[in-house]
Amino acid sequence: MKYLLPILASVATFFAVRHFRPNPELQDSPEQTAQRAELKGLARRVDRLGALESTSVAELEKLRRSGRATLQDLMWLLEQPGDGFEATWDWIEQAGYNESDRNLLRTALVSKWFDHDPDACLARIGACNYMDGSELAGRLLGRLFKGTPEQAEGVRKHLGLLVSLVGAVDSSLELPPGSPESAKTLLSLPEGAPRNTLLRFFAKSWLESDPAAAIAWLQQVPPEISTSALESFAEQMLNPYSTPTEAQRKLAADWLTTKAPKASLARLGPDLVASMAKSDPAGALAWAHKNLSAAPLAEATGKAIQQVLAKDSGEARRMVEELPPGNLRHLAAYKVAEAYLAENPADAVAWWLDQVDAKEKSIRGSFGAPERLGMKWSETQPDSFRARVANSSLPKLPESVLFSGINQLMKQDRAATFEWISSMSAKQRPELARAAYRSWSYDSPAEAAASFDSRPDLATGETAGQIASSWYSKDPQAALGWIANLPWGGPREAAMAKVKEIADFEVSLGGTFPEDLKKLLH
Amino acid sequence: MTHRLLWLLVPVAAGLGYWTVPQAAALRTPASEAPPQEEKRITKWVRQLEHAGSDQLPELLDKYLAMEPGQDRDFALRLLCARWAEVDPKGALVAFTVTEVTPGLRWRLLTEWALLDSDAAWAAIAAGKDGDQDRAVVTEMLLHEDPDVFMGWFRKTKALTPDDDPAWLAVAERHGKELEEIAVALAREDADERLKSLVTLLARSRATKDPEAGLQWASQLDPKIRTRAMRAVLDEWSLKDPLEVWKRISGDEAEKLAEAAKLGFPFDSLRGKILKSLIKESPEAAMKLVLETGSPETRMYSGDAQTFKEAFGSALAAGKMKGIDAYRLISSAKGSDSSIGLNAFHNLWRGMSEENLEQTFREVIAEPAEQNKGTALGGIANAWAIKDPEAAFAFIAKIENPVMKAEAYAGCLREGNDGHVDPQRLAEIFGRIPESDRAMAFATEMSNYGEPEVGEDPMNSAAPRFHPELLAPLFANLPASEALKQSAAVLALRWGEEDPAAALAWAKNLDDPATRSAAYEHAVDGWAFHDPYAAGTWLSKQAKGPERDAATLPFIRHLSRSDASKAWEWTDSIGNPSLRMDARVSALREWASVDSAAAQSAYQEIAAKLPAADAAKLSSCFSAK
Repeated sequence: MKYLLPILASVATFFAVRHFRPNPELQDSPEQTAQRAELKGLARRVDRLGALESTSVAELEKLRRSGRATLQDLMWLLEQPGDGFEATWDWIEQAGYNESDRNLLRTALVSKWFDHDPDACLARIGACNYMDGSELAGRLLGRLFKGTPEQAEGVRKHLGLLVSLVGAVDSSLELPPGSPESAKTLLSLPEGAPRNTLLRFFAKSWLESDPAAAIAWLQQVPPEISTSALESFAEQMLNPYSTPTEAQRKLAADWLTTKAPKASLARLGPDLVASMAKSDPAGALAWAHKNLSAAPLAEATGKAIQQVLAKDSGEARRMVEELPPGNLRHLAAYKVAEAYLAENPADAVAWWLDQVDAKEKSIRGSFGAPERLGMKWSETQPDSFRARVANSSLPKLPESVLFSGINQLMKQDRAATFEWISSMSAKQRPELARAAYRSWSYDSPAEAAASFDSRPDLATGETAGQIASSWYSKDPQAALGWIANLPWGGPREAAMAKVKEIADFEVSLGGTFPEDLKKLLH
Repeated sequence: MTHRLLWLLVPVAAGLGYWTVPQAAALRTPASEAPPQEEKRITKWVRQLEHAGSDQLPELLDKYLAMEPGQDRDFALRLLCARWAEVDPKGALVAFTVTEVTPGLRWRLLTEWALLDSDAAWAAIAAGKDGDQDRAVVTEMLLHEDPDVFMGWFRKTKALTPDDDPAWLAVAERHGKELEEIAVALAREDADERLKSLVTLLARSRATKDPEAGLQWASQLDPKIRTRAMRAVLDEWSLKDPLEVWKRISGDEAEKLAEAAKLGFPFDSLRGKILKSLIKESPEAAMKLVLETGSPETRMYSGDAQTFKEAFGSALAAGKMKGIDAYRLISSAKGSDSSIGLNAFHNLWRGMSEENLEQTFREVIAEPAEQNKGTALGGIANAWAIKDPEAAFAFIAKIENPVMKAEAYAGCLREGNDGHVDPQRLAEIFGRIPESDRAMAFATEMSNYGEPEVGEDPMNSAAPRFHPELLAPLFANLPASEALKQSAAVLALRWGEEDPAAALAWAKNLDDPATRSAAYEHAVDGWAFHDPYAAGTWLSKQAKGPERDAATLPFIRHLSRSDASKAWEWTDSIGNPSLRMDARVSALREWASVDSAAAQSAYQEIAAKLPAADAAKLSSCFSAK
């Protein structure tokens, strides 16, 4: 026993010291830090590169925060992620990188992850937002041409999902330049929609670079592929924002006018007419009337007249006046009026009102012609707009034009707009005040309500109702508080009626009638 | 005695215990920090280089340049530059010129040289414009190497603009005062973008030490740089304490903060970033927080909904969340007066495996009825059909509830991402749906986007953009049903606007009379909206019958907007009394609004011959607004 005790004590001491000795992995001693800071030349570089060989997420984050690693360094590290691909992907997502750097890191990771576990990799790409997923999938599809045979096979196995992820963004695809060899590679893919989509993107790009060779090849493929490829190509070449060469434009136009199916012609006809009208508006219009109908004809007519407008606005107006009624005339009238507005807004709007039917004049919404004209008028020439509104000898402007114009004036200068409205005749004031309060209460209902309380000259039931409904939609409690403080009378009644209308509607959708409103109504 | 001597073993054991601890990486030489496999790679080149003189280095340069491009080659060349900078940097530059190495290698050498002797490296670069690029790139490379050496070069080049690279924080940490002086100088020079970037860096640096004070400092800055600075502080702060920043941007003072910073309430991108980290911690707690501090109208801002979609999508893809849990949590986002249709994000489910999708499908079907349940099922079906269409369509075909079945099929028609649909792919998927369910699937999907309106720009609609000519053949021979009639109406309206002749040719061959009439009616509706005269010319050549009657009604509605008297004349050509009455009301109402006397006269001509109810109906056109 007396021998055993010191032996046991020695063994215990041995393990205790071993256990409690500070772990040098967790922190560098000051001496070590100093020693590292002093490293120079090759030793320093060895030290730095050594740090680039640990690839756990913790080490990656440490490296990133230290600022000692470039993005390229980190991209290399991602080739062998120490904590696995999933954890490393999460790190990239949450490390606070900007979009461009994050995409580069993701791309580096995905290039290895897909080799290792394509299903897991595609699952995460599938959960990305559309543009990011499309770009990553597009790069992987590029392996059909640039990858090893194994990588290309991996892509073939997941072709449907990859093409679906690319979606409509063909710029994400890493396809090779057009050539019979590349075409052969694509044609060797399993038949079906994914292959056809790739072939369409490929052929479109080939048509842009070498139309003769591409056309020759397209003659050998099934018509659904060649037609969709040529339509995609023509769509791009005739797009008003693209800048094709004359040969490209001609190829697109020739195909559309001589070989394209009727459906393609209907879809692309308006852009074709716009392109033709640059040199021969009359000829373009004649072609449009012969080959197009309904919406494509209406659009094409508007575009052709727009070309005339640039040279002779009077002639453009005359052409519109001769058009048959319907949207065919409405579209062209709007385009001409919009340009004419810069010259003489009052005459332009008056002319436009003469060209369109009553329903067109009353269309509401920011996409509608009346609101766009009213807004542009008061935005560019507010004095002219105010003068026209004030001129009671002329017919009243449609509400759609008037309200959008007032809305624009309010955005420019609320106080001045209110002063102007106050100066108008008693007959005109209520409608103008309603328009002004409608605009204001949509943006800032509390401010509009405060103004209402301080402007008895403009305070009517209609304006109170306008403010109440806008406010109630944004903040019911605040709106009800305001209404409760309104004096008994018309405005209060109107405001309560408006919010009740909204509450009743919500009840009809399954909501509950607010208790506060019930109390107010009683 | 012997046993007493044995006590001497205790200090010996202590010493042994201390020294026999396995050597940790940090205590080894720097080059040996890496795992064993990596260690060998670096060591190999270090061995070749550590004693290499200037006479051996050109040969090693050739050797390393001949390596396969990639990390190994890059590491070897970086080590070579470090060594060459030690022994003969000038000779290296000459050798690089002879060998015609890429500029990148030359910059690496200059960087290594600058780390050893900054002034000499600077002097080795050509003066004037010829050396501008060298100076700019080397300065940028030094950013990741040594803040002090970098600052020396940055001071002189003035070429680099700070960005969000963390290396800049290290520089700001050591040279904050000098950077502030540079910022003041830039403000005088009106160098807007560089100034904003520099102030952003200074703000981040302040935020790392004391975010509250940093925000206060940023809020006092000139308005033109304040926004970026305040955003930078909030960004940096949110990394350390996301909840605190969340309170600031969601609480009572949030709008004031947004106004002061001109950041635009509700701080969309910042919210997204914070919310993502909160969701990672606890999706349930994050959802609760958002619902408590969300928008007064919807309880949740649309940006937050988007963040949930992305974060849940990632969690589902990684298998960290169950599909049914995501569904239930999302459903809880329903507000009292409105709801955020998070389930409407159909690609939420895209990352899930086929097995998980099937399981989630089964579980969601069994859930109680809920506003977005059908859309969620559509999204799950969509994701499944992309991965394994055979299995997905076979499963959907067996769903007993016809509404849920239709929603599931409808979801599959949303192929593509975020509404981007390839019309050919859409047609292919549509063709996979069994004929018995096809019309219901199409009608259900299209009804999700509201009643289609004539003249609506498809670009402004979220509905799938289909090519009518590709879908039309797939409706041939389908059994008659209300859904088929609705589908034919939607298709014909779109097609009638694009190519009425083709639409009407298709309509003519439809078997079911009701469907045929609906197709005629809507094709002419689409046509006459744009060009009533052309539609009228076509109609005038059609034989009398139910299809012509159906098509004449929308024509009259459109024509009466511009020529009500002519439209009135047309009403007599409709054989069906009910449709004729509708057409008369339409024409008379428009006519009365432009020429009441003429309209009255036309009305009086026929009123006596009409049943009393019809006459009263027409008479009401004169009192209606």
